[in-house]
Amino acid sequence: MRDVTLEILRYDPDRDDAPHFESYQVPAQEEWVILDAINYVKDHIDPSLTYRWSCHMAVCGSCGMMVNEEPKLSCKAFLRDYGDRIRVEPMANFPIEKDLVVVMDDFIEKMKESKTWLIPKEDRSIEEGEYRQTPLELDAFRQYSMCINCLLCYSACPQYALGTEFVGPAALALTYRYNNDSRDGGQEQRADVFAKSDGVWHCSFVGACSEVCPKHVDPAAAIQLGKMDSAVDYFTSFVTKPRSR
Amino acid sequence: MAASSHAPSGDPRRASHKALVWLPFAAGGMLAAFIVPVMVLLTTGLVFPNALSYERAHAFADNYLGKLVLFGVLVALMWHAAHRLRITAHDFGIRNDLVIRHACYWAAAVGSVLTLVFLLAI
Amino acid sequence: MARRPYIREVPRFSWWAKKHVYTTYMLREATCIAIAVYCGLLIVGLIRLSQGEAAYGAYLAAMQSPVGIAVQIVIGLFALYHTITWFTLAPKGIPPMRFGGERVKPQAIVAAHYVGWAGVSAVVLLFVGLV
Repeated sequence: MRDVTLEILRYDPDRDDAPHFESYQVPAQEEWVILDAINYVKDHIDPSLTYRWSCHMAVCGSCGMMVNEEPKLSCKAFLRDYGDRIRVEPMANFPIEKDLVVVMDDFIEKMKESKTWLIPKEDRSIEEGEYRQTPLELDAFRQYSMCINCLLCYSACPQYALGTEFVGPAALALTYRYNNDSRDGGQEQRADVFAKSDGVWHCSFVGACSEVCPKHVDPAAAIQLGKMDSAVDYFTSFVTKPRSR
Repeated sequence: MAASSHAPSGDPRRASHKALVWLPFAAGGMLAAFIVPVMVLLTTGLVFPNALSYERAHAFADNYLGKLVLFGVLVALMWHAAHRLRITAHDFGIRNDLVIRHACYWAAAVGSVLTLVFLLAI
Repeated sequence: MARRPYIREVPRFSWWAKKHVYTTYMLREATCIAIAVYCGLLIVGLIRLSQGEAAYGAYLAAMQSPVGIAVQIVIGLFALYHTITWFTLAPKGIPPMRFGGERVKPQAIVAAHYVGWAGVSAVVLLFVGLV
């Protein structure tokens, strides 16, 4: 048992003009994660505290927050790694909806624009069976498919902070994931977003996204490799037939 | 990079023109990583103080292979620096990308022409 | 309940000073200034070389004067920082390679860069210094 003080950034759109910190004393178990301490606040101190969480095991991707100014999944940030005063804020670079809940509409829109789903190279009927893939073909994109859309990478990315027109780490990594899936034929359709100046070319390779990713997706690598693909595409598009728009 | 370099509509290119400047940037960055430290070591004269004497330097720059090497190295380094400086200006909060990118790339272009002219004059 | 999302402003000019990773990133990007200055010095050298022995001799003396050496040491430190950061990030920019069925590890790619760097440096030193 250890008493920790949580300083939580609170914002109530119905009452507050700006967010402010409030402190809560939490009798914490040493094996707790930050999320447990926040749950304690909601259950025992202030039931109006608003935040997102679900699985408590780094799978659902909904409990991202700034913990001592670093983007973290609060279910994966252990109290034992922190001192007695812990600062919790909503994820940086996103508008605050209420308390620790951020508005993620921008990312959802970017996922749609980026077409981050499988666009089959060839249509097959159910009778023809499944799309098959070798382990080597799977290996080409597997790590990028581990993304849980938690958006910690956007919170870490200074380029997204400076201009939200940037498509951003997760959406670009997922685009790269589908572009490099042997079953997929959608690379050209995705190029409109991926290969443009607000796509991979907006990235200046800070690398912070990969540092904070809880699933080791390494979006920075996906974007760098995407730049290479895009550069090759730029030059080959002079010699191949122009795509009709 | 507010002033974007989107391909105009109807342009058949699928990718942004940034691809065009990024490849020399990456190539120049690789070259810079490998050779600038040792070049600096030589030009300070801290090692092999006579290596860059007039006779030796002139002999190196007096044939087309030497000229080609010097030209290639300088141009690659300058385009690397120019492109990175453009991005860095943006990162420092200077948002007039149109002016910045003209200043950076033109400086590299002028440097490249100077390099060519004086290499041929040697 | 009305939606009234609150947007936190990011300081446009000083954002990079707040976090260590951002500061080292900016330092890495700023190495290009040192590279550009060094290119300028080399171009001056070419101009002086084309003007004959006396002009080039004065240039070389300036480059190898205490001030010239001090300036170049600063440039050299920035250049070294560029080299180190470039090699550190190299595994992310190289498409996955396989060797004997296994993916080549990022550390192996970084190590290969350092070995190559040592080799290139030795060749340049020996060629310029001794040949």
